[in-house]
Amino acid sequence: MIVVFVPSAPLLLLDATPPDLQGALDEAVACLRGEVVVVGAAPSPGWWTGSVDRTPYGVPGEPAPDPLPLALAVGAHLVPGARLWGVPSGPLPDADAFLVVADGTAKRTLKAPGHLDERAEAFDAEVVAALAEGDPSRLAALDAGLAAQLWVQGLAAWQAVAALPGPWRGRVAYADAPYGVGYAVATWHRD
Amino acid sequence: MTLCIRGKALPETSLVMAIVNRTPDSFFDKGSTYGLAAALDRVDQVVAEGAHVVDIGGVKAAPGEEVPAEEEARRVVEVVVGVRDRHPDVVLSVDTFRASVARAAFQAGADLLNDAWETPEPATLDVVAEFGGGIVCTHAGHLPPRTRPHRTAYPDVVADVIATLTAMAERAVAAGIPREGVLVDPGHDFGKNTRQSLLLTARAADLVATGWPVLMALSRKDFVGEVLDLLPDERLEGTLAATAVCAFQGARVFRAHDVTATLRVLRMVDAVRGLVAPAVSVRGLA
Repeated sequence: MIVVFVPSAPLLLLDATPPDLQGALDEAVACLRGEVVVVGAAPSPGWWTGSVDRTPYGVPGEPAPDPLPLALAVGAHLVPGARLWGVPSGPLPDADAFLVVADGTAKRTLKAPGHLDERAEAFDAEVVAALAEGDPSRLAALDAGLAAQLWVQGLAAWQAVAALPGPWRGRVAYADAPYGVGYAVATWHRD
Repeated sequence: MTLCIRGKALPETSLVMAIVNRTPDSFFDKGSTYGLAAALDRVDQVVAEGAHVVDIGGVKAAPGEEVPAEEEARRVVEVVVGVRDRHPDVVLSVDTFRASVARAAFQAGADLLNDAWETPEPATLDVVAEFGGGIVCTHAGHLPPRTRPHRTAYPDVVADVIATLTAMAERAVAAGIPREGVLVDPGHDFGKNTRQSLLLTARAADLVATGWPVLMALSRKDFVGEVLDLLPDERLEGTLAATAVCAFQGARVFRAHDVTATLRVLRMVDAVRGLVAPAVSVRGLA
């Protein structure tokens, strides 16, 4: 089984991804095999269907009648045809592979969306370490209160995946905050 | 509508035609690119800045020193030859109302004829067609070349421009000029007072609605000067304001002295119109 972790930024939908991040995304997504389920934050739990709608972000056009929430839209954009699962939820459904759409704090720098919070870098570093080590317990142990203060939008998706049994071999392909938001691209493999 | 001049397809965005005057006496540059080397340097500069079309003129538009056709052809052809050598892909336009000069320019490698005076020599259309070139059909208030407007009056200047230009454009196509190489220019200040030029600016959309691609020659002209009571070298902002107004209404090509500034304005307007995406799109989306 494989789990791929990617960020949840709208710019991924708008062909505005920085080249090094795009390269890491392309490589990670290419690892996915079999039936892929996208896991991302959503207003209601469980299965979702709908459209990748860019008009909410100012792209000209007609709004879709059934817009997906951001994280699931990013997943559907990266892996067209994947099934879409909204979290927080109960246990994840069966799948061959999961694409976890989640990102970190939005307070990494003075120009970050949420301005600088000195605690943000350590929070994101903890996430990246958990992904690198393939350690679900460290994702499960993330502080939800602190995450909310640091504008973390990925917590529910990470914690949903933390319930999957390991052990995992983790690899982080990208970890940076080019616009003050903590992005990570990582893969977990399990035999 | 796709513009394609002698096989050179132009982007679907707003476009800039850069002015290069091989004249000793044009109103704004006053001879600064009259010498061949200076003219070619100016072409290098405007191409580097991103101009889509380069327009070379050998005679100033306003009344002044008489320039024989042979001398006009010499001035223009020398530049055309030099530009064709250095910039084979740029669309090269020649600003003349003389069929003989047009012929010499096309033979040297020009792509487009910019005839600002309602094509006073009928043979001109045949010359353009013979070379498969493009043409700019310009409304000049039905005045002879190189004359100034005097008490010009129209029952409806916009209607006159539309009727004149659509007839000229159809005549050009009938003469064998490829339809995708025909543009129309309402001729700001040519046979028009300032208020008439302003009306054509405000109602550019009416001309755009004819379906012919519209070229606007606004750069530092007297209608800008009269509105603001400023001299030619103080008319950049006024020119750019008129440029934005016309571009927003769908005018396609802008003949300009100030290439970088005009390109920035057009890119901004094109982004507002949704024709181009922002160069950077991160704020609020990270």
